[in-house]
Amino acid sequence: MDALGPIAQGFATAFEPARVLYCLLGVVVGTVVGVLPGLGPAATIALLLPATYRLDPVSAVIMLAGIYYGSQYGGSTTSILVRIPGESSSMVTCYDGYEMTRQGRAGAALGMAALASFVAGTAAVGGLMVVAPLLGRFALAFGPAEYASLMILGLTLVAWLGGASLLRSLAMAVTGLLLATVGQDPVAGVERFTFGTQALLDGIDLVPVFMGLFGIAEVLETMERPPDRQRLPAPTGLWPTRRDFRDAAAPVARGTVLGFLLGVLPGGGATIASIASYVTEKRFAKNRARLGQGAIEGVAGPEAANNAAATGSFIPLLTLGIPANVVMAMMLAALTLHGIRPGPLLVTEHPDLFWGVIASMYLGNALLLILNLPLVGLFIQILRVPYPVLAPLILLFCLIGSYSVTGQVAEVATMVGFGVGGYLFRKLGFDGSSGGRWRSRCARRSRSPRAASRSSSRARSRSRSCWRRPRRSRRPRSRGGRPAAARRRR
Amino acid sequence: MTARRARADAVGGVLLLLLAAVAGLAGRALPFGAPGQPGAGFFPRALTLLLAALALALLIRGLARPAPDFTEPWRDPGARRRLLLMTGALVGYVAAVGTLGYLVTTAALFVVMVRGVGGRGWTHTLVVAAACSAGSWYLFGRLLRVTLPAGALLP
Repeated sequence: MDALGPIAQGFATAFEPARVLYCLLGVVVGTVVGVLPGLGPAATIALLLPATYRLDPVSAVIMLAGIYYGSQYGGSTTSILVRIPGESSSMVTCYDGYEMTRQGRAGAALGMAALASFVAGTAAVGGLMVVAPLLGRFALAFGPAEYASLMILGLTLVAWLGGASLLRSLAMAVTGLLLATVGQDPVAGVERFTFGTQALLDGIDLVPVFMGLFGIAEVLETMERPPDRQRLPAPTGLWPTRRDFRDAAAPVARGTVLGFLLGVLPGGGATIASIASYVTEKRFAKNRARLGQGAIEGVAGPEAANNAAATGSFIPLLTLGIPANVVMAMMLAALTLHGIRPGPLLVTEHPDLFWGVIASMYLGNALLLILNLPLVGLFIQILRVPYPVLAPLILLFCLIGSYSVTGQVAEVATMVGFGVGGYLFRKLGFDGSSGGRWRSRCARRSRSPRAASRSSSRARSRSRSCWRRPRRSRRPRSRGGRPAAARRRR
Repeated sequence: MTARRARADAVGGVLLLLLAAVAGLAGRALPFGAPGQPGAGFFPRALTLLLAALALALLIRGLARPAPDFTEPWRDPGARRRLLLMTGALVGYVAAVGTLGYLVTTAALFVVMVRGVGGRGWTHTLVVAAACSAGSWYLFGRLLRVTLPAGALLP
């Protein structure tokens, strides 16, 4: 019972009326920051830091933590509705979330994103309570060799599962690595591919790249159609279906565990966790052939992962005093500002703060769910804006988002360059999310009545073969008994 | 479909070969270092070689198959016009925003997109352009204190 004492005390601390209000304020600001471009949680926390000086430390940290995990909820909204990632951790949500919007299922995608975020966020807080000190030590054991192995594993998986052609995926992965070498060499300080410009000295930032590859390229592709055919379909429902819940359960569970573990690692965080979850779903999800074409798994898994990671990243900060990412560095600054030194002694020296902040996360996640579900109906009204007006608004969001990274026009130029280049490579079939013909055939087969009646083990092996032997797609199929409708579609 | 993608492979291969060539040229002076102690040029050069090999493989694969068209969406003159207008508007924005400032260039972007690309009437276009330009400037620049591009001549 002794162990439960501080936890109960934490709940009592977090549920004081004033602290509930600060928690609410934090998560509302976080949601707004997540939705709006150009404002990230790190910048917002930096802006609000002086304002928290008058608060007591527990209230201050409760509010600032709310901004961070609240932004993970909000980040998915623009990814799903207009294919612009509100936060970099919502990048992969663009793939299936936006496809669902195109199919008139924006409400289901937004609802599932909020629910997955809630489940993962709450479960991760549970994990934070139970295994925080243990995982803190595990994170410290990760050295350069482990990180390099993790990176190689990630790249290999992305290339292998990324699209219809291994050669194209590998070429894109290597191009990405080559672009990452732009800027000052971190060891020797030598300038690489900067062409004498100041703007490239720090390398190419991810935000303009994402905004270009997703936002701008998408608007360009829509421009291929005449204005009267550009409008996105009106959403048919506001709530995920029963089947959506069934399909999303396992991805949410996997995303939560994966996100939590990756969030704990210094240098890791919500972005890596969401990408890792998407890659995992491409391998393990029941309907993996449909991923990239509007599958609920592609929204539920990554959204669960980025929230679990946001919570997990508090572990190294609270237990070791090591910030796992830039937002946690801002939190460290906030704690230091209030004269608190996070580290192994924090639990014993400031149990009210440690357990109070953790308990407030339960409250914050519940508040976020209550806030976000009714907002689904409001957000999807965006789709009713005529596309000739929506398109420049999307461009404007991308322009502001890119510019605000460093305050240089060069960032906007980078975004435009990646937008036009991304559009071109999409036309050439290099877009990892679109998958190509073979995958869509797999999807059709998995949806056909015959496929549904086959045994699950056969379905698994067949679906796996979709990935391993793309060449088979060109072989004429003359198997009898195929449904007439499916034959006609071919 | 197969043939379309084959041609796409060839074009993609050529583009990536060009990128590898640019990277090779721009990075030729970077110190390579030794195997035990890689220099700043080690990683870029290895990646350039790898990219060139992959691009070449894509090109060969593309050429080895029949090559009809993947440019179907661009055949419609209206689509070509819209795509070029939008690309031009974005490039123009980047070029002009440093001089003319956020308000004017953003309004101009809206005029091109709503009138030129979307084909809306002038009144509608001007109202939307003015409202969105000034509204976003006030919301982001003033209320939320986001850094917006400021021109040499105008805000």
